[in-house]
Amino acid sequence: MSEKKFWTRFGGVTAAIALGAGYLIYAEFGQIEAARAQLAQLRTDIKTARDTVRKTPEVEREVIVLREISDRIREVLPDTKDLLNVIRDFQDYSKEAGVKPSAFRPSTDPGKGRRQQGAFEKVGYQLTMTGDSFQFLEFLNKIETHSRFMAVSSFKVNAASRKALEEDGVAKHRIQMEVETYKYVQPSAETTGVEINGYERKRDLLAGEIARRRDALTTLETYRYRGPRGRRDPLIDPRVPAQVDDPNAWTVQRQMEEVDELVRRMAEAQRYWDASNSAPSVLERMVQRSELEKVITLLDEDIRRIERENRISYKPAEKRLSLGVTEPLAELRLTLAKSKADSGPSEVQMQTVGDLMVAHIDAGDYGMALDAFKALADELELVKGPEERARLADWLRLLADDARTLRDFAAIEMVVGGYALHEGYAPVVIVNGKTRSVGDPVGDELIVHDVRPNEIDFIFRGAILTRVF
Amino acid sequence: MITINLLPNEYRRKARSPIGVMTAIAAAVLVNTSLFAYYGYLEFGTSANIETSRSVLQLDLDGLKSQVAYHKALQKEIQTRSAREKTLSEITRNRVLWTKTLDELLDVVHEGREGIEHFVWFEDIDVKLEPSGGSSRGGYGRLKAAGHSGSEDYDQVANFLEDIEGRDISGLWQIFGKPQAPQARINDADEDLIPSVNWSFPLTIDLLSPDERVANRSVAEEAGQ
Repeated sequence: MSEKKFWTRFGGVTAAIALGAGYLIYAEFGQIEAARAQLAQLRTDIKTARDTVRKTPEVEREVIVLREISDRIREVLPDTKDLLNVIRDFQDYSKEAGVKPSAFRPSTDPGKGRRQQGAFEKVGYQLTMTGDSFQFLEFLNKIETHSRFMAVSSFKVNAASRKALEEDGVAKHRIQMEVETYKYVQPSAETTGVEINGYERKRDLLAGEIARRRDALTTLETYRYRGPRGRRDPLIDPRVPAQVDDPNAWTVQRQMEEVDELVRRMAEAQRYWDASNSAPSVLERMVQRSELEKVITLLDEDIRRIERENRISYKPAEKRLSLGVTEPLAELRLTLAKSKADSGPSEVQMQTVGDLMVAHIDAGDYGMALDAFKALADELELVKGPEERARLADWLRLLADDARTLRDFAAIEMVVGGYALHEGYAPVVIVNGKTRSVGDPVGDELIVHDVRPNEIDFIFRGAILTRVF
Repeated sequence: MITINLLPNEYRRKARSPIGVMTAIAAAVLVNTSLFAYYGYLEFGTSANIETSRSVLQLDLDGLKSQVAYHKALQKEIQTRSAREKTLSEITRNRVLWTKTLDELLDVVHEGREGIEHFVWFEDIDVKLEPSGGSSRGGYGRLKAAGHSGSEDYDQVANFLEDIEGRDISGLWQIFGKPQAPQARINDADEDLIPSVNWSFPLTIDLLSPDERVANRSVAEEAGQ
């Protein structure tokens, strides 16, 4: 081989080896760069992951709180329409508030029922009912404080006419309202909860926060309606008749309020009656009956007083009194009388009537005392049984006799012209223009018993009664 | 081809190492050896170190991955559960508590006494709420009522409308704008009733926007109302 050829080959081989090595080095550099970039990325990923993981306890706490209040949130904004229960609630509320529903149907408004902003769906219901303003407010309040979120989007109240009010005794305004409730639309990617280690312990540590968030949910703006509070119904024409039949009559508002109170007490009596009928034991039945008799007796008393004093003259109030109190009370008394036809009034009833009579006699209202007695007089004949009942019956009769005597004595008119009191001489008094002394009769049943300054004692039907002049 | 040197030994050129060749070979070997050595350093030193570090970091990251996945699952759960809360606050914000509103309207009506004040009653009350609002007047909803004022003085209608805005009487100002300008028409006198004279008037009040209602409520709360 020539030298030239040798050098050529040698150079070629050497260069080839060098190039190969260079390539390997170059490739290695590339790999190293890539590996370094990967390393940097890994470091960044690890830093990010560590930062993320560092926040996990905080996120865990939030999840635990959300899980613990989720029941309440679901209650307020459920996943289902659950319309059947909504309607049942409406029914309960209308009964409790006293409004009379006449129709209900799903809202036909084309805007209603559509999914809103992808998060919830409106479910509208239209209700039609009658009732007075306060009943409507109570119904409204029950809806707006329902555990499930509900909102009233519209309502219209048409006032009952004056004539209808006079006929019915109660205001039956026509009410139409639109109630909306909401169904939560779950996102498709709704997750199920992951397991959290030591959940119970962590939850216990968060009890305060859970309670605070739960409270915040339950304090969604609500309002506590406190009833009429002496205010008049703004949908009732409050003008009073110009011709007042009786000057004793209360104002229209007072009449309505008094009648409302009597209606409430009548409802209370009815509750006692129902409770006594469904009482699980004889003792409970007796307790309910005695309460019932007390309520009835006092109710009777107040009705008599109102009628006697002609306090009610406003037609709607009159009608309401008749429909809501007088008639049902008479019916209840009749039913009650039938149930105890063989036994007469109870001890409690007699005691209550007796106490009332004593109060009337002390107040000089003998007629009212006799009216109270009259309500029981016939039934007293049936009292046989235990000695205490017979004693109470005798006491009532005695009170009635006293009231009668006092009433008749008070009704005797006499004019006292003067009197003379002198020590050592019999006192003398001029009654109805004639001079009388102790022991002299005045009229048929009256005998002068004693004379003192400004008062005379008379013997009247076996009792000594004093007339002050 | 074989070359045979037939010269006697003393004539032959003395054999000696070819310095140039040796130098060239040595240089070539040195260069290439150095290159391979450097390659070896890169491959088995630097690269291996990097790989070791990478493996360690990867192991570290793999250890964190499950914790990150757990964190993400928790966050997803928060998002889902919070969405319901957010939805609730959205619909709550638009709601008007009509019990409170009507109760306060009753308070205003009750302020008016026969012969003393406006003495107002209504034939009807019509209320409509528009949560999304609108460009027209009454866009967020409106309360309309056909009212009567049992007074000979028609300025009692103005007194009533003033009472509706009165902050010391009720909180109606928090949700309603100003009532429309007063107008009234006298009705035929009814001598059978006291008062015999009454004025019919329309009551129209527009609802404020949800933002304004929330702001007014905050103002009222700060003022202790």
